[in-house]
Amino acid sequence: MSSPLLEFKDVSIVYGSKGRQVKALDSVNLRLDEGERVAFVGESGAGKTTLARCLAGLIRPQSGRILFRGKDINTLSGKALREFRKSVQIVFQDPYDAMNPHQNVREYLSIPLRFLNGMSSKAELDEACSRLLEMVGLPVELLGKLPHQLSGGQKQRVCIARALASDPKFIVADEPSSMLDASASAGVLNLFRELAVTKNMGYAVITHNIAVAAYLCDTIHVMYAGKIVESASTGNLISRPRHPYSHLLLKYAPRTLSRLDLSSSNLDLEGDIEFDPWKVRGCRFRPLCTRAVKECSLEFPTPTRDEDGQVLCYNPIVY
Amino acid sequence: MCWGLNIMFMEVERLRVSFPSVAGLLRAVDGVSFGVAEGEVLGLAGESGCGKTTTALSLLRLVRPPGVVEGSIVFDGKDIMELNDEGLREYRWKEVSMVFQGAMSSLNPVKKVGYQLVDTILDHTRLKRQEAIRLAEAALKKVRLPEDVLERFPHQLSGGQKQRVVIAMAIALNPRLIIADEPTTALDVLTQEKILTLLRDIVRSTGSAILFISHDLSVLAKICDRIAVMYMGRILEMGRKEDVLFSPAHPYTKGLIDSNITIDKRGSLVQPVGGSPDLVVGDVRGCRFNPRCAHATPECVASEPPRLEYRGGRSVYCYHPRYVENE
Repeated sequence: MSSPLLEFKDVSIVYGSKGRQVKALDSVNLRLDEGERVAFVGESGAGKTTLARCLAGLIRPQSGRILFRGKDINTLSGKALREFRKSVQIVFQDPYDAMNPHQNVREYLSIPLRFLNGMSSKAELDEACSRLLEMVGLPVELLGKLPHQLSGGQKQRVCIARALASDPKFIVADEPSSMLDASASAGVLNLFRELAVTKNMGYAVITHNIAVAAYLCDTIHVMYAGKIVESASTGNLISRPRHPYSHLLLKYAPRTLSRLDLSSSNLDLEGDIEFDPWKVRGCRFRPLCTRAVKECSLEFPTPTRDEDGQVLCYNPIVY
Repeated sequence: MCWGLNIMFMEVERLRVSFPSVAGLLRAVDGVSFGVAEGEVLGLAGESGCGKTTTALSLLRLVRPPGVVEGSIVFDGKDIMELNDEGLREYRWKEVSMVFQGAMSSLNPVKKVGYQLVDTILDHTRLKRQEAIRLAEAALKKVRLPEDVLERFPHQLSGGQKQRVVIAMAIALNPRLIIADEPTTALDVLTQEKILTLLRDIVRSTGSAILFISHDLSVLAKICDRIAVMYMGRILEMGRKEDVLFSPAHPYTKGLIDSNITIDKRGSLVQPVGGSPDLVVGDVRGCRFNPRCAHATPECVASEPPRLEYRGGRSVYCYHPRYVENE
């Protein structure tokens, strides 16, 4: 088997001090192949953004290793590091914050072109910038505009254009549509689907919306409190979720309305106590779980793997 | 149920909010009329910039100069546009309160939650401090937060808890109308579901009405009785949620519903509404949606579409509604 594009080996990242330690990533193992379209789904605080930043090589794990084509990315330097940066790019969550308010679109797009692709002549840059805008479905006239002159959807497309500048193999997109409204959001998500085909590119989408994950990706990893609790193909995950948390996420996922759904929102609020998953012993999902068994309070389960995927649970749902 | 027969305690007529700008008079809200009935949840949908929040702010008379508010806002027979400072103090929070967008950042980071809750109550009533604290505790109980939250600072709470604190603030004086501006937008699905259930419970137990602002139709579907769809400062379609969502008459409403990404659409290609809205500067001729509309004809460009009345109190402004009702 050839070495995967990116691989996580027991990656952990801990935030906080002695008083309260948060394992944003807790011994995560992961393998991403070239051209793979994968999603990481979970609630706020699950460690999704930390994972995205690790994938793009923006933060170093405190323990464990992240491999790019078999080489530890922390040992990369010079040409090899540039190769990694060119191959793996990131699109941040908030397009309103990601752009420098004083830089116009041309300047913004020129940075990766100059530093990663080694372009320098004005004519060359202009041509490349125009081509990038075209790729993301924006008119060339926007090149001279400043961020405040763009709509949210346009800004996000410019950020995607910047990520595409180095002709990457893989894009990490952190909540690419959560700041946009429905119509703009559908446009941006369709763009990702299109790029995967036309540029033969893979991507990792970080989202709290499992419907977005299912729309864009072939594989879904469900995260909870720093752990990947279930991994499966999209089809399997949404029709037969095995981890109780995946099941819960799907239950409240946005779906096309039918008349039956109108009286929904029947969550039982009686047991609705906010808890700190980091203070829970054993499986951190236990306080919310309806399927908890004795073992759950002792130790975090170890992953069980079969042809349908992987699940971290002592008592998974069986179909 | 026919909303036409319900008594509307809040009536907004031809509301218009303009701001001067270099380009000319910018109309954030341009002729909006609606009513809110006792105990109902009215949803206000639409893309960013369509005037949802500005509409809400004008109901509380929170639009500041140089913004100009025209039209009429009548609450319980009182003309809100005419209220003086003292009148406003009595009206705001006691009659109509608001959960502001971005609740996470609307709390003061250097004051304890309790101080902020009690202060709000004292500001709008003549209660003694002890009574205000009791009200604050009762409000926290209603949003299912423990009393010790009063002693905590905002950064010690999770996103969902902060949202609850802000809701507690809005319901503390038992107002007849709560305006909730995107109260679930920054939250993940489970927390979102909890907040929606909570707001539903509050409507049931206190009889307050809610004006619920959101661009997310799947959220509005869960909580609203009626939905109004806004576009470029105008309401294009308004009616019972089942009518608006299941048989949208306006092409824009249909477009919004179709561009919503849902779990069952993964195999298909979702079609967004092409183009984007413009700013409304000065007087607009014709239908505002016509540049993005697949059904637009010369008359849509030439003059304002008529108001069509449908069964169940629905109204639609369009020359080419998606279906015509025979009555």
